[in-house]
Amino acid sequence: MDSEMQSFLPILVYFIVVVGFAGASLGISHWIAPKKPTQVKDMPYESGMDPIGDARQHFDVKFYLIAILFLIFEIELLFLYPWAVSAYQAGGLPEVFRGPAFWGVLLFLALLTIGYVYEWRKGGFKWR
Amino acid sequence: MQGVYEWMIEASRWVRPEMLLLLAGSGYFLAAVFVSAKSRSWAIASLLIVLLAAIWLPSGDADFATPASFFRHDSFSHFLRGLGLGLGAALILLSWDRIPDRCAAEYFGCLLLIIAGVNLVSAANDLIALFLALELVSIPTYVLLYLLRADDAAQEATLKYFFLSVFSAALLLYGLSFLYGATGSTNLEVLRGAVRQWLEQESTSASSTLPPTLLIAMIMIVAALGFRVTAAPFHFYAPDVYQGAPLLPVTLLSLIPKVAGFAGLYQIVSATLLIPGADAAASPLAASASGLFWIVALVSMFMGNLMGLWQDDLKRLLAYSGIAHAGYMIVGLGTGCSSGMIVEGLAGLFFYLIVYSAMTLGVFAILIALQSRDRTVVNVDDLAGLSKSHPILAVVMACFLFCLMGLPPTAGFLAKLNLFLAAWNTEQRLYRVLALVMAVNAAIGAWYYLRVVGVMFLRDAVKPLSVRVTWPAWIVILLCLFIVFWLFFQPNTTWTWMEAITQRR
Repeated sequence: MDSEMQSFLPILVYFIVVVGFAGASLGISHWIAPKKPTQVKDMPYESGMDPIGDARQHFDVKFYLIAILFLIFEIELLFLYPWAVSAYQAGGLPEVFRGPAFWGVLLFLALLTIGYVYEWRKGGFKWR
Repeated sequence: MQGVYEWMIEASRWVRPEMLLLLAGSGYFLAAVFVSAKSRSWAIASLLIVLLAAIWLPSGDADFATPASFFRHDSFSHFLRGLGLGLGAALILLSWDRIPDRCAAEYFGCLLLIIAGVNLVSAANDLIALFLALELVSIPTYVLLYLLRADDAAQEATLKYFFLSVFSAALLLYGLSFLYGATGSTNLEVLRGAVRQWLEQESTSASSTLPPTLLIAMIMIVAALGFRVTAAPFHFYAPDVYQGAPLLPVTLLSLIPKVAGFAGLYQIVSATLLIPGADAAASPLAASASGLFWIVALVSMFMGNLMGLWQDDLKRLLAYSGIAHAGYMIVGLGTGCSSGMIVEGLAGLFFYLIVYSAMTLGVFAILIALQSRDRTVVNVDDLAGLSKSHPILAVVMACFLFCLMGLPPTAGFLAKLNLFLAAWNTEQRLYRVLALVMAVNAAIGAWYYLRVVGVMFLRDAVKPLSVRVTWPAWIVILLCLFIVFWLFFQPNTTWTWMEAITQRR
């Protein structure tokens, strides 16, 4: 009984440290930080746009381009992580699939690079 | 497991044409930002690539499939891959030097990717491969719709197509997930085996063993692919999109998604309904599906032909004509799974697909050839006096329109007759009614095609058209004309071929 409860001790300590750190940093910054509020500072941050008002407002199409670009590389990571974790681990990918999977990943990266080069040369990265 | 390398190399040998097209398409995008070349150079390169792909296409006798393979090749995919490459070559010829140089590389790159997509739909042996191939067709299509002309109309057309196409892709994925849920495999071969097992159990036991999710899957898939083939009631986007988009992408839109959609539908239907050795008529799923196809075919035929009567815009008219023709082709599909008439209905469908491709491509090729910088052909009235200014072109156009009507001596007559006889011979009252509806609809449709013929020959133009038709356009027009007549006088070879490909599995 005791030993079972004892095994939970690190979790209790961890819990106290987490709550304590979060509370302490919030409290201390509230206590010592200078307070000069302006209207802009009090707004919730929303991608550089005014968060209050009509949702149907024009916004710059440049945001959209950046978002798409971000998504592409996000998805690239999404594919790379599972492969990287399981590729060379015992109990992961079977031995025979390692080679094909490696070349498959390289092909995938090459295709993404084509998109990257295209976007770069067409000026997709310039904030015009 | 040992021979993975050998197996992958073997598998990649069978999809080599598509790999070439994909690599070339990607290469075009890379080249687009480094070299600038004329539209004609890109077209010549694309044509050579398509030719090389056609040379590499494995012959129809070879049958390649390993049980778990992603792709398979047999006489069916051989035929449809050939059709895909042929349509691709025709589209390249039509866009020869009509593409602005600034976007020529992207245009032809997208075109090559689309051809690869169509081919992979018919070579797919796996639900995932099928879905990815269909997306490989749609995504470059969105780009093409907006690439050539960036005005409000094209924008609206692209957005309409984009949102509805994404919606239909989601429906398709949902339907495919039900198929996966019922069998636990995405492989079409495994799916076929599972359905056969259920049907055998069904015939011995009193209670139904077929999972009800299969029917839900069927409905979802028919709805999603019905969008691609513009079958009513999933057709609403077609007239608007056709009207707003430039003529070249519209030509593509009226041919390529139809071929891909029917290939996909046939792949699914042949894996879940048309099980050789099993009594297809006894399968409750086949009965439900043939009822579904019956309704879709009926609504498509009436919608297309009746709405076509009101149209003045040529592209809208051809959109409704496409809806009606999709209805005729779905008659073949429904006949195929209604009872024992598998071969006639399905062979009729693919025969019709060839004829439809030839005659629609012909009409669009003439319309494209008549466009010039200072004069566009938009309405039916713009064709007035064509018989005076371009007498040969007017006669050829009339031939294509007669083929669309289904009059002898053109292949359109035989194609309709095949489907009519297949539907009549099912000996089911519902499908006999559908056969009669088809005949009535052919008569209704004749009116709006004849109106175009009448305008061309009987009316004089206020300002006659004066364009010289370029030689690439002539090649496409004459080839289509040849197919339209040749398939009427010599249909036997093609018909036997079509029967063979529908009997393969």
